[in-house]
Amino acid sequence: MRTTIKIFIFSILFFFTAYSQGFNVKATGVQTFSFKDDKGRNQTTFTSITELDEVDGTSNDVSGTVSFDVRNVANTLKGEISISTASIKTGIAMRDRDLRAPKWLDADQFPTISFTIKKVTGVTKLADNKLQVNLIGTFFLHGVKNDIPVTATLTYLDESQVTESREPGDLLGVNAKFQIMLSKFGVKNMILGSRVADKIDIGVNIVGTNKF
Amino acid sequence: MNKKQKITLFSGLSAIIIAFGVWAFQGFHLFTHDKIEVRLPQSDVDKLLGQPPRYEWVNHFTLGLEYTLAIAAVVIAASTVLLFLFKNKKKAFS
Repeated sequence: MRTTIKIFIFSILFFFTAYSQGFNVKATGVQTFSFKDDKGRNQTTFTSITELDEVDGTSNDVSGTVSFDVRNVANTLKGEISISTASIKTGIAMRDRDLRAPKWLDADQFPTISFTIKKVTGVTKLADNKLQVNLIGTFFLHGVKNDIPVTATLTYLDESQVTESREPGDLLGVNAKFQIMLSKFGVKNMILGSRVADKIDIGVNIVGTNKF
Repeated sequence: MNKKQKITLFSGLSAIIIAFGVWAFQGFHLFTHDKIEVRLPQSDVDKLLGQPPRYEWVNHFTLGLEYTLAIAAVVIAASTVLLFLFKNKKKAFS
């Protein structure tokens, strides 16, 4: 009898633990979202701040997929997001060319910058359709891979008339902010640290659909 | 200082003041930009998805300090040469 009670209690605890680490939406099972948007509405940003200059850059050429079990995001989340190196714009055409050149990001040799989810270290439920996820992922830049921590907010919207105004399917909004050190990715330049900061703030604001 | 020299000095100073005025008016940027970021209107779906406003680069020239200083340097050099030339010409005719 005691064993039965223990099993029952553990089952309840397991159910609630799993449930609290996922979305409470209409959709169920494993869902895969693509972030390729031909209209270029998905955007990643980067900011470099030094005493001499502040550089803001954006890229709208985002692609990649993320998949997870809707009820158990913590244990099933996986995927990769990438941008094309050549798509980064900073407001100065000459600087954009420099950025793509071998002395900076070397877009010809390393055409993509990517982030691959490695493991989830924590999930906080902010609402039925909103989770804050702490994860460790592999950031790939300039031919170098480094693991970095990222905190992302995931917002799930079931397909409806409202979501159709953007694109068909269930939608997943992803917001993340994190930092990287350029020097750790083999980017070495004389003006690194003076006109361009070594520490770069990166922002990811993207929406994916499960109908692609 | 003769009349031509005074005109040269006044024109040179005016050009430098205008260049710095344009630079100041366009935001005191250190480097010249050929595009600016424009905030795009946010859709209701994007708000529901927690997306912040997006930005788009549009063509827009913004004068930076590097060009302003270069313009000032050229104007000072040209004015100096002109002032010198006008001074010599006056002496040659007198």
